[in-house]
Amino acid sequence: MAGPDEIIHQSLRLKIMAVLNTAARNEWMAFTRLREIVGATDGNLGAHLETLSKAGYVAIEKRFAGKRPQTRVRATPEGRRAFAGHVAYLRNILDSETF
Amino acid sequence: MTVKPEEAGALLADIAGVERRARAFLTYNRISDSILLWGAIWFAGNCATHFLAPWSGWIWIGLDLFGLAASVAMAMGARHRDTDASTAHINWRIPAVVLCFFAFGSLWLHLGQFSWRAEAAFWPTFFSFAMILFGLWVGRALIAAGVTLAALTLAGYWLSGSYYDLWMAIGGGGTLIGIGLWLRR
Repeated sequence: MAGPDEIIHQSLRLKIMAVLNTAARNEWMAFTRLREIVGATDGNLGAHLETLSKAGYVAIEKRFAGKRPQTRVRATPEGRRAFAGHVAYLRNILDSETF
Repeated sequence: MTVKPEEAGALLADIAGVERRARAFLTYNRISDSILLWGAIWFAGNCATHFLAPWSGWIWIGLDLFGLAASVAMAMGARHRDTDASTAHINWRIPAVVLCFFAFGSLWLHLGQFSWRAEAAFWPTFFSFAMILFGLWVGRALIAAGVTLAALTLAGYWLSGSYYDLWMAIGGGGTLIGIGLWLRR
């Protein structure tokens, strides 16, 4: 059984990865929308995205949508693998308790 | 790091909750272009019916054909952008659904022999019904949008008198455009 992923395990980072994992592989999500879905503040979300980015789990892009600056995020293949592994680990804990 | 079963259960429940919200948002985003397109078509078609009545039949045929072609083109564009095999096929469902609705609606309009007024109310209420059904699976925003569109359409049907076409341009087409913009906000 794979062990826990200490980077993803933190509650907000786990939610962020869950949201980004729902999107298609090359589909970006706007920072503002991600903030709305996970229910975080700008600063908190930014800090956790930075951690995930340093681990190579998310890609962050800053661009202009028209004249407005926009930050958007997507999960990398490594991030998707790490998320799937951590979810499997959590499920395994519950399954072990059941039997 | 040790994770207790209670904590694992709570984290998995959190994941399920945000995944549900994320799927609803992604679906809204994917269908908003189609809703905007058909809103613009309904707006133009109803304006044509009011201001260019003798040619409105041909204008509607042209607009509907344009709408179907644009729906297919949008699906192809989305498929081209989307390299994820698990979702690439989903985009084809949008024009397929539009085509099925057109076929079913056209059949019953032909068999039912509705008045022009009832016919003009039929499509928006039919579309509202589909939005409400789809919303039961996807999220409440679509249910609210469907109910709003149906209510405005029926209000126009009973209350707008000789300005019915203009009401339908704004109440039907305009509302769809508003819904499309709201879903992609």
